[in-house]
Amino acid sequence: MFVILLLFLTIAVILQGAITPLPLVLLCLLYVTIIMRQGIPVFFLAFVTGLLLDTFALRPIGETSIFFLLFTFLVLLYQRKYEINSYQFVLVASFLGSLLYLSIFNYPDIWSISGFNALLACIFFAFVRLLHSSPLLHHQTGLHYKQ
Amino acid sequence: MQRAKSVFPIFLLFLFFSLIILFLLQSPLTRPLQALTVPLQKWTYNAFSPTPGIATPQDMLQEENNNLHLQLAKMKEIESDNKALRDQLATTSLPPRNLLPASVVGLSDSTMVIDKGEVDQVKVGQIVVVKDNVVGTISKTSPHLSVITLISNPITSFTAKTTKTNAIGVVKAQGMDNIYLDSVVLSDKLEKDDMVITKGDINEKGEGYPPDLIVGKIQSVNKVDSSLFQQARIRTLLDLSKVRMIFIIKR
Repeated sequence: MFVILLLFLTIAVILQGAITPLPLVLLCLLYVTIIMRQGIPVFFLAFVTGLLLDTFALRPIGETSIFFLLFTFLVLLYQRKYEINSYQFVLVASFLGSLLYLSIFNYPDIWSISGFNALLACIFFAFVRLLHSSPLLHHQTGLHYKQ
Repeated sequence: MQRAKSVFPIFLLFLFFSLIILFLLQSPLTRPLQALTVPLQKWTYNAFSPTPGIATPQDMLQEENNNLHLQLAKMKEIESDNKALRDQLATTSLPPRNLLPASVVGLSDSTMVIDKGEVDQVKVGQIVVVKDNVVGTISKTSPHLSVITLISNPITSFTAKTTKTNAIGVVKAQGMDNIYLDSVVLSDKLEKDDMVITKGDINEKGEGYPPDLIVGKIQSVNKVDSSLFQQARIRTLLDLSKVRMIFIIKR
């Protein structure tokens, strides 16, 4: 499952770096955080993808890494007390995360892009859940989903 | 709290690395990272942008039409130059241009990213063209990449004139579909389908737009007798989504 998410993350970095302003990497990091729930791989991926996105966008290198680190840290903190394996959480977290990301890095049309990204997040989350609950992969984490 | 405590030191460690990179290691890291990502960015952009090679008959006709407009604009310039020679014994000469080709690796509504940077002597303020059509100016550079602020960017503003009627105005924009020649005095004549070219506003440092670069064609004229100025909407001759190579005018 981690390999598949890593593949999605790589594709998201490439697409967001060259073609689309949609914060796809943020969505992938959200899924990785929900599935993995471990600090080291999540923070490492947030750090590396942030560096790459800054390189693609000619921003000072490190800015996006800091944002992604803070985002994933907040999600990990939140999951201590509340359930995060739910569409509601994915919708709200992806919307707020996208809104903050787009406004901090001066993208246009932040509200419409954030709304669209949140919708996309829910659709892909359904796909990730389907993948994750497949018998081949489910035994790896034993994760339970909120219905 | 147990898990929060266990992730906090790891979070702090990565945050520390990010801050070190942000404040101390920009230059050493930018070059190798860009050397790694530029080919990938270029490939991805080319894979997802429309293929310029496959042209419909309409595209070919449009291309031919654009070339004819370009030749017409040049002829008009030559005519007015000849007139100046005959009337005032003045001579004009276009400064020689060194053109640096660069590939497009990213495009948005108001900016473009290219695969040439500081190592290729690209500087902020240099003008970017495609076949004598002005595209924009270099606004940001890094070792291997540069950002072009397109003429469709709201911050862009430069003087231009029409070829037929010699009306002078200021080109402004609010997006690619909303470029206009503004602040044209009412006494000047603006005609539909007239070509708009840069007037030339190079300063003593060599910065600014050279003259006679094509901006576009007048699509419509907005003239209100009660106002001080008139304006014309301009349509560019370029479809930037199909442009894969641009040329930077070196100073």
